[in-house]
Amino acid sequence: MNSTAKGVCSPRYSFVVESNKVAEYRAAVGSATEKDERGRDVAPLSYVFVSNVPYGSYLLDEVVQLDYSKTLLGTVEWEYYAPVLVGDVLEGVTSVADIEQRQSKEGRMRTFLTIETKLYRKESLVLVNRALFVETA
Amino acid sequence: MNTNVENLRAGAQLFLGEKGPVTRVQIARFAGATLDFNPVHVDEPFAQTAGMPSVIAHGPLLAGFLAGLLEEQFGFDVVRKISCRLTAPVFPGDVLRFSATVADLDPQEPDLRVLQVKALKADETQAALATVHLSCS
Repeated sequence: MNSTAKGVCSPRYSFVVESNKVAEYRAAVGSATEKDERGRDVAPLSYVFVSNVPYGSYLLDEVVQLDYSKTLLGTVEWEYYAPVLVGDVLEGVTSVADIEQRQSKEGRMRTFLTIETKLYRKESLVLVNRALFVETA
Repeated sequence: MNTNVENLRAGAQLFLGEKGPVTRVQIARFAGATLDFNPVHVDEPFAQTAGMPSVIAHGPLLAGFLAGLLEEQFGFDVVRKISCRLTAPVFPGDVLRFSATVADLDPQEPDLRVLQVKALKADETQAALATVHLSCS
């Protein structure tokens, strides 16, 4: 793992929350709820994976140079500030938020990597997604 | 019908729902929807080389199951944060039961309810442990 990658960010990107992509994701996770409390067409709470994986993969593969055979996804986290609606145009930045070595509960030194995505509607923060990876060997 | 978050009392136990059995098709659909074709999810020999008995489900798929159950139980507008720690791999055929305990209320944040969620397999193996923040307002 390239431990000097901390702080590297993707370019700011933009995407439309497309109804067919939302439907594809909804089918994949078995999410049945299509409307929020106000009757709006809303994306599943975990939909951000569709939008950030291409940049997440670039950061993991090319920048961090992750060895998937030695790495586990430990934690996924979302913080919500506003719902993601079908038709939204969102902007995002995905970054290598942290890389650190620390002792695991088993007493071994492990490398912990955090990939963070922030999504905005215009300039308002909509959600933050974090994925914590653990290098096991 | 959505559960009223305000009525959640500390110590209350909730059954959020069951997902599965997880199928290889479901894993493949999630890979397609998120463009995450990490071979440990889609390539049986690679997964076995990595020490797994078969391909494993994506961690975010498990978190997506939980997010979908939260959508159904509480609605979209009240979910403020989901932090899901993946504690055991999920394989094709696994059935997951999600249950929650309402944590002690924080007098500093009277409008916040915190759930401690467990996802258990049929053999009681804990596949995930999550903390969920719900807002009353």
